[in-house]
Amino acid sequence: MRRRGRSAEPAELLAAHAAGGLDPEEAARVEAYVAAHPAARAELDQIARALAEVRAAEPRLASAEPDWDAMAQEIRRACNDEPDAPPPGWKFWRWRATRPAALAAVGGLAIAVAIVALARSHEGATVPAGDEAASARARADASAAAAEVGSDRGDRGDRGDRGDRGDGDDRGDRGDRGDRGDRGDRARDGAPGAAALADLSGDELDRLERTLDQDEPEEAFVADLLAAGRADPGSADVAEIDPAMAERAAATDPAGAAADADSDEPAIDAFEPPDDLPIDELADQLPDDAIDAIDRFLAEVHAG
Amino acid sequence: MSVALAVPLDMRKLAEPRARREERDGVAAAVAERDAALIERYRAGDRSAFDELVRRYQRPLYYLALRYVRVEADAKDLAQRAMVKAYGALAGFRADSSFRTWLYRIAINLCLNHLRDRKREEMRPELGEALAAPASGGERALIDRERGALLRDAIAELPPKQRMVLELRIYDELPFREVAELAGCTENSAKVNFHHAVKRLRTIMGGGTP
Repeated sequence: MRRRGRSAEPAELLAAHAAGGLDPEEAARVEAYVAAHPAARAELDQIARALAEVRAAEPRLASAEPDWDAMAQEIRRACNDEPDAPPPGWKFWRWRATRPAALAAVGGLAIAVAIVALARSHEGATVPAGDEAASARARADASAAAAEVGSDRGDRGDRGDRGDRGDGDDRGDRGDRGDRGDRGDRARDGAPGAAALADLSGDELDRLERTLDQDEPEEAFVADLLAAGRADPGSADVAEIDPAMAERAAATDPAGAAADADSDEPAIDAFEPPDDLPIDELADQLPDDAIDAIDRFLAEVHAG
Repeated sequence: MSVALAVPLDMRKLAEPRARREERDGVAAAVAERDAALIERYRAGDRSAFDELVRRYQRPLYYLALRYVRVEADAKDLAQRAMVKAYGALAGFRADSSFRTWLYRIAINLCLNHLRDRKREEMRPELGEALAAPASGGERALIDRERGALLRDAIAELPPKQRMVLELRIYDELPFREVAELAGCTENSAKVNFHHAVKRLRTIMGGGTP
């Protein structure tokens, strides 16, 4: 959505006011202006008359209207003849297949930042090996911190067009989801990717996040991952990523599944979630292994 | 030629009350919601959902194109092409704007390309053939028709953005937010352009000062 920009002078809003197109605040401002300037009142009257004339001069057909049913049929035929008309939703599914990885990366970022922050605040302290309670508390702390980071990030910036992405709690949930996997453990183990992510500045994190709002975010997104040292070379196969998904794909499209099995190319398109699954819940449905594999796949695509 | 405004008007009837504006905004939101549901159905594989979109938009697209090209056959062709183009691109529609805004943008681009490809001098001879004021008898009606034709010419001569803003608001009754998206400007800029368009028309038609 475009920003509204600077506020216009009331004198320049008279026509929009006469056309009933102003917000209540703007309309009140113009009304006050008109009340204080008799000339403006006269101009408003003239504008209203002019608008009435413009409406009355609306182009009309000299002949009868087209046959709308026939026209609709022609359009339908033309659509059916479209050689390049893609099957409904193919691009949508491709986006669905890639966006979870992007969303997962944000969750991973939040976790990594939270864990490093916790590690710094507890510098010197160690968790006794096998101490389940302490470990659980540490994970809970990390989860809460990640949720907080997610909330903060969700609240920042102009996300008016995408309420789903601007929902801080949603981000927090994703951070929590990430904590259930092995990302936190990897960070504690000193995995280079997590450490590199933790070193990203706020601007870099924002830049990475902004790539998620782009139409085709893969390249920019993967570039950021590579720059962060998080992406690893590797390949992804649908069966390796999630055997259950492979089974579902085989059940719905046996030929396609067979072709995928015979192909060397990663079968990323097989990640077709249920129709009724909201896009932002998709990441929550995927296991961490799948997200990692998708990350690797994207990195490989970018590198190759 | 300057013709004095002679239409008796009641300001209370002309100035849109706030309720009307709110109603219009509500309608725009309902339209966007309805279209989004149809697109979801189409993406789920229901082709009839797109047919429904065609039925809903072919008429406004036709009149939108007619205002630009002023030739019925061309307007029909352009409206059809806009729908077919939308069909081909619907899979990539990201809903950053409403479907209606997106579709109108496609149609306007097609119209502008069409006009670019044909010189305006070639279009004018067909003007009278395609468009006409409401037919009625009497001297008063004749004057109104002439004045209407003059006004349409004056609108066609407006700077492109002013013309687009004026027509989308008056004839298509779009809220300024959508008008701004289509015109590629801010909402404020759309309102200011609208004001200057009306002001210029008043000047041309003799009802205002430059």
